[in-house]
Amino acid sequence: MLALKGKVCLVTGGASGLGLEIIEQLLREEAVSVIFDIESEGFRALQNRPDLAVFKCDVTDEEQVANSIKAVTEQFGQIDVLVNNVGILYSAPLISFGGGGLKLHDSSEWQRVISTNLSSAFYMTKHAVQAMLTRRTKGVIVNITSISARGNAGQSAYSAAKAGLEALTKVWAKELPVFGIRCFAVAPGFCDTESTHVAVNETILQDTIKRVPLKRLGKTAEIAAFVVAGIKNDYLNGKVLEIDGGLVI
Amino acid sequence: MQTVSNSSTSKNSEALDEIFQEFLRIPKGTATDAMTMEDVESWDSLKHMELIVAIEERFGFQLTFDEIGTMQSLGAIRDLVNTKSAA
Ligand SMILES: NC(=O)c1ccc[n+]([C@@H]2O[C@H](COP(=O)([O-])OP(=O)(O)OC[C@H]3O[C@@H](n4cnc5c(N)ncnc54)[C@H](O)[C@@H]3O)[C@@H](O)[C@H]2O)c1
Repeated sequence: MLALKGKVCLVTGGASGLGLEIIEQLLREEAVSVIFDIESEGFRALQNRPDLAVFKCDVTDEEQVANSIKAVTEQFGQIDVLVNNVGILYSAPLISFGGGGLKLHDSSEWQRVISTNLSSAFYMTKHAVQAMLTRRTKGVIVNITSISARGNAGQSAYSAAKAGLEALTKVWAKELPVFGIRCFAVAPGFCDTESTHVAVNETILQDTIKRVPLKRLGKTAEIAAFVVAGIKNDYLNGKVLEIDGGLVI
Repeated sequence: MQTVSNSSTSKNSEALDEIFQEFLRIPKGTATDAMTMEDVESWDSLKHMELIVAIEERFGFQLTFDEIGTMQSLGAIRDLVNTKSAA
């Protein structure tokens, strides 16, 4: 089992929601906890925390990613764990008919969702793995996907991005073990986060809860505990761990 | 310029032949210095990384990215291993 004490763990989008909960649990394991996030209320609130290293980095910009990873390795010597947690939920049908007539899925939203949820993880992993290789670190990559990767109606971009990330999980789980690096994904169902309440209309959310056999939303602490357990388990590689109260069985 | 003893060079050569056989499927005794990725079907970029890790583990040294960049033929790999293991 991997002992996390003193290990350098980097979580993207760690300034709020699930990412912040993962960070808090890593801190309890005495890991050196590093966040990449963009300017936001959550980001500003963390600036004065002495137990955290918070880097301003838009993970959709490869140059910022490369520079920030370099800064982390200069400050802490290495990167042991990367959690690709940044993600934005976006729902829109491919085609719809409303009051204004025919409406097509906006292509710029498609690009934004793919870039934030998928390309970001590609850039982060590429540069983090380079840093791991340089120092011959036996690292762990975790991708946060979603049960939507199975293909949710009304979520072309989000589902495609998360399915892409699950494919990358499998590719990296085959490519990277030769260097002692493993990779797995955690796919949450619906969680009780601000982002869920903002993105999902209350009626749809209540209907969804009825479809969850456990009849409730997931808590970020439950998902984060799953992530941390996976990081510590040296035999976990290439799997997508779904945690959704039984919504998808 | 470092001089490398004949016996250590031949030991290295034997160990490398074993690695070339295991990772690149080149039967022992048939590997020539001129062989490159283009000549060996199973030698792709992924196999190349496995080869590097196997060489590092076998010889107990770490290769830099610049050194890895020079490993374009079996002869270049042999030269690099001989120089590194003599250092
Ligand atoms: N909340 C859920 O119910 C749920 C369900 C399934 C999957 N997920 C996944 O879990 C992950 C976290 O979700 P959450 O609900 O905690 O989200 P959130 O919106 O609360 O947090 C996301 C964080 O990412 C940051 N971020 C956004 N764009 C960024 C960028 N370009 N560069 C750097 N940081 C950026 C935000 O500032 C924010 O701090 C996402 O990948 C999401 O898809 C969440």
